[in-house]
Amino acid sequence: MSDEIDALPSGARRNPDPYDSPRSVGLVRTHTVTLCEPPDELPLDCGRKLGPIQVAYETYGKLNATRSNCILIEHALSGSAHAAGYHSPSDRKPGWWDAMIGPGKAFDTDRYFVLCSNFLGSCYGTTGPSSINPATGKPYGISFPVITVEDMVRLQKKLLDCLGIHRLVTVAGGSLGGQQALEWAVAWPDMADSVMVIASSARLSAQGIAFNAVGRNAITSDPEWKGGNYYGGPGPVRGLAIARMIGHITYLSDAAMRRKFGRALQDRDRLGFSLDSEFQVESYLDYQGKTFVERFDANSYLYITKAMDYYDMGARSGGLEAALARTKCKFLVLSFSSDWLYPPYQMREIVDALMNLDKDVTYCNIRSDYGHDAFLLEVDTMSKIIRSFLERLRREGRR
Amino acid sequence: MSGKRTERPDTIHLAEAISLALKSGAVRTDRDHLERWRRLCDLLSKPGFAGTRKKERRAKRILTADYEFITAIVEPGSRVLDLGCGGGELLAMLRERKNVSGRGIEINQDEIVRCIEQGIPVIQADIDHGLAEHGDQTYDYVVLNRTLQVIHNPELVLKEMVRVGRKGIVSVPNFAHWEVRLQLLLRGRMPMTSMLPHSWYASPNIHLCSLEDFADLCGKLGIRIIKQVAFVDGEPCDMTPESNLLAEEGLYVISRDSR
Repeated sequence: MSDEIDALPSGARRNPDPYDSPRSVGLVRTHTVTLCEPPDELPLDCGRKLGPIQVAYETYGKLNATRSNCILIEHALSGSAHAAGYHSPSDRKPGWWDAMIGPGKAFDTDRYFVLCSNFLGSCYGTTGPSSINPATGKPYGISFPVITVEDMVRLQKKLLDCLGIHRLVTVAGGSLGGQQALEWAVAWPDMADSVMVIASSARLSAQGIAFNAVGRNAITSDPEWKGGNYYGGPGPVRGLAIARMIGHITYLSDAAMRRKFGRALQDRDRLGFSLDSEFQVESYLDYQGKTFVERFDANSYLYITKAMDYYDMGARSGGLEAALARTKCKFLVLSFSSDWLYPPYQMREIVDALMNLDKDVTYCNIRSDYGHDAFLLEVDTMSKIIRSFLERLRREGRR
Repeated sequence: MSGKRTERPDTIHLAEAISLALKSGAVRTDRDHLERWRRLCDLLSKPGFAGTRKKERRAKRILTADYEFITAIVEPGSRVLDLGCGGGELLAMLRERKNVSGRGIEINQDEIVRCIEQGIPVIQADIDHGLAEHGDQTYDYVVLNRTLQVIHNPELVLKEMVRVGRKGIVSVPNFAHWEVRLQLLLRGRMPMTSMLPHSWYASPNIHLCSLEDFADLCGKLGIRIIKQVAFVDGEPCDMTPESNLLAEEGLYVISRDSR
């Protein structure tokens, strides 16, 4: 979720492969395509229709002749289509899952065609609240429809149709990305051979909704939010920064924070008896908040967290088992022991439902102190598991 | 099932050793008995007993014997749940030879990775918590292969096995095996055998039992033993009263007692 390299608890920080490394996908660019032009607008769960919709996506590796080697990667709340590689040699950081995607990596671009698109409602090239509404010539703002995870997946299907891809080796994602992957298995059961649901759940917990609600409150109570019509002005930077700070706390864990910060002071060796930020952990959160507002849209934050809260696989189809009954793919489910935003027991609910349905499911609760962020950090363990799982799919596909 | 039992040098030594041990014992301390005791201890450390190469071969035979046997009795195409499946070796064998649809449950992360490498669907879970998420009679076989002795709650797990599976297959290392008995009796140290290779302080085994103990527990839990076999030096043999002394392992096919 926090795709900042700076978010790494010390010790986990690994140097990313530079753009000219043989293990990097190298220099890449984001493509855009316009879909759902009227009268073929995208029908949404809220009952409204939306179109035209611009979709931003990136691809790595080569699509094979039979168009059967595509892996779809799903990003999380603040992520983008830029999952791997660099946009320019001067980029400070590569894409958000660069450690997992590239030649010889878990999602091996020598073998697979990897696709990642920015989801609906985000602010990295795909239509969202900050995009211009063609009907008015102004940003949508809060006139943007409330969207759901199902809507995001529906739009991705349109993108794949447009690209002529009708089969997926796997759909993989962490956090909100994992929920999209899960949704893929249900929405288009004939399309993906497998899905990988990582650090995610079939529904956000009450605790998760509570944190999201505080984040949204921080934004909407900022006077600069102006009912969502802040474009052209400074915008609710304070509110969005606080929302991000709360988010970051939930992505870490007690152990990760203790190890990274302890009670260390920032740029001083004694308490100042002032009300300023003094502890390192405070300065870290300040920094995360400050850099986030430079790259993210506050309204997008409201809409996306709402989609997270709404997601409840099975709520509409009479329970989780009933919803998963129609799936045909193999499942790889990974949780992390210290993740308290998407706790392991929630993943077990998915696993148990799949087992009862006699679906092919593999589950591992990876030991990790990194909390929810582990899905970005536990690269070695995840790679080992994912590589083996993909290898198995390939072997069985040949049979 | 093969009822053939070949006499092995070890077995002859064993019979002699046991009878000597029972006749001597710690109660009598006259010179003659002390001499016999010494001979007995010598016997235990002779190559026939402790020869490394022979021991290794034997250990290997013993370690694969129950896999072969389980693979032989499971019907083709069965649905199998393997509790404590390790790296998935048994399930891989069952899938290969009997085309079963199998699933493993394992607690160790490294073993899980090995399962995935073998293409075995595996769930990380602690079987000591029971199998509540599995419906009644959802598997043809639930296997507990050399795992009973490491779990905290054998009663619960056995009851769950026959609830979830039409049949259960349990293999149990026999703590009443002569080698175990002799080591404890004569050396006065915690036994270490090819079946029980761990030192007492590093052993995961917390609920060791004899074959007779296991049969008693099944009786107490109302679990029916449909089939039973004793492994003597890795060879499957009929279960007889002597098996509790001669067999290093017992294997049982169990089900809910429907009487």
